[in-house]
Amino acid sequence: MRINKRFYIRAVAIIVVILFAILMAFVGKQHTILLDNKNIEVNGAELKALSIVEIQVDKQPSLELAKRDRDQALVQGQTHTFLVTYNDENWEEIVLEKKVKVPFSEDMLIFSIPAFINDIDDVDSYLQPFEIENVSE
Amino acid sequence: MKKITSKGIKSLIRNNLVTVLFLVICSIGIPLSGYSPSYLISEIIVRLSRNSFLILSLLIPIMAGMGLNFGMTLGAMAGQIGLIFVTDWNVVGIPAMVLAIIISIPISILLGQLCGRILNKAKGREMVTSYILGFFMNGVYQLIVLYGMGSIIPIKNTSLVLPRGYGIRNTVNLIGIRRSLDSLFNLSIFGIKIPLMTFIVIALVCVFIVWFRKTKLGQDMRAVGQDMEVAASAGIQVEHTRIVSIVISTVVAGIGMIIYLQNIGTLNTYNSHTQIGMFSVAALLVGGASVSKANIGNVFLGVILFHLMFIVSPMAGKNLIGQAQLGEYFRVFVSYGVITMSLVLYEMRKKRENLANAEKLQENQGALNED
Repeated sequence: MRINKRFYIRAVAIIVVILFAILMAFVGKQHTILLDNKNIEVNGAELKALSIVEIQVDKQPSLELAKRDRDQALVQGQTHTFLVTYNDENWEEIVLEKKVKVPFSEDMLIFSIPAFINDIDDVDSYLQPFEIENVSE
Repeated sequence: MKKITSKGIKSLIRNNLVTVLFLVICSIGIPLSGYSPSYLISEIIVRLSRNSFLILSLLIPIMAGMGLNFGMTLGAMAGQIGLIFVTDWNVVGIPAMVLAIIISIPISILLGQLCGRILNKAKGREMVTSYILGFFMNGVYQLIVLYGMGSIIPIKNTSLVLPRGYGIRNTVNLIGIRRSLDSLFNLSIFGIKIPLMTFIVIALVCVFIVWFRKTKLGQDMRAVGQDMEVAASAGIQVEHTRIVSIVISTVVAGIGMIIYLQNIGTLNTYNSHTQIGMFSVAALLVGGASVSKANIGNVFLGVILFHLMFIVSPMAGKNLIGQAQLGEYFRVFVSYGVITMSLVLYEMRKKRENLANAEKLQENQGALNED
């Protein structure tokens, strides 16, 4: 095979296109995030669901969840901002905000609000992959 | 100023018989359908944005003298494969469209090369060969999509795969990319939505075609289209040039199919591509193009007239005899009819020209003998 300048230009062009395709996959990847306000057990301790909580993912409209409620947010990309607003036992409004990176390979994840409030930095405790089980008779 | 004579009008009608016929059909069909002008305009705009890109893919092979490229279905298949993958990977929006285009291009190039090589072996019978090639490749496509995907090619999205565990379902929901290009940049005039971004993309292809005609390769294609032997003696690689024209057409058709399907929002896995070649060719012919001559204007005029007939015929049929089904039959009948009529007219015109040339030659020879 003759290797000349044209070959290198073509090789670089192909690599650039492949890299661009990978970038598009990362930018356009859609994840379903289930926003869950239910009791949860983390490291042996039971965390109680909040009676009422407001959650906003990225710039999407905020959702209000009561105890045992679950809703979903469809997000595009790999990094997302979660904004949780709730009232503590003294009726003082608390706002928590965190930017979280979502694993690329996961299509559906569950976001536990009580675990998020408990420890905002322990991402693994409140954001976990979720798989729909196929129920067969 | 040029004088309008009855002879001139006659030749104008004769040269644009299909277009004139469609104008007559539409002018009868529009009042019968009872649709309002604003509805018709908005529908035509949707159809223009949906179909123009696909039909533009037919221009370059015509320039290279390869006739109407029915093999554009190969590109459509490549586009669909790209869309199946992005749907499986759960990529959405404009990035999904770009990714689908990137996936479709190498497949289109490969299929275009194959098509071009086969057409080089069937010079003079390119149209029927590409038409049959489309059927053949449809079989290969079905083999890959129906048996290969999910078994050899990994597909993890269960909503895409048939219940048996492999093969893609009949219908793929393209909700992730539905109207993503059309709604990117919208304009509303008198309540009529105009998908500006789609039209910008179409305009870019038009600019590319105009620019391409002026390039060395474009000039070579025109030379090959006019006379292959003369072009070969001038040092042009005829076969290579013909292959390149088919490759470009297939790639553009692949991208066109992605734009078409993002507008529709649903992929009919085993049928979407089958009729696209015929409808695109019919629309171009309605616009006044012929087997050997076509321009960008023909594309837009063709889409307007052909799809205007598509829109009004079911309702006109219903209002006329109480059955919308008549319009449906009418669509298919007219699509095939237009292609047949154009081909017959083209052959008649060619025969007439050949006869006139022969007579001229005889006259010249007679004059030479007298001298």
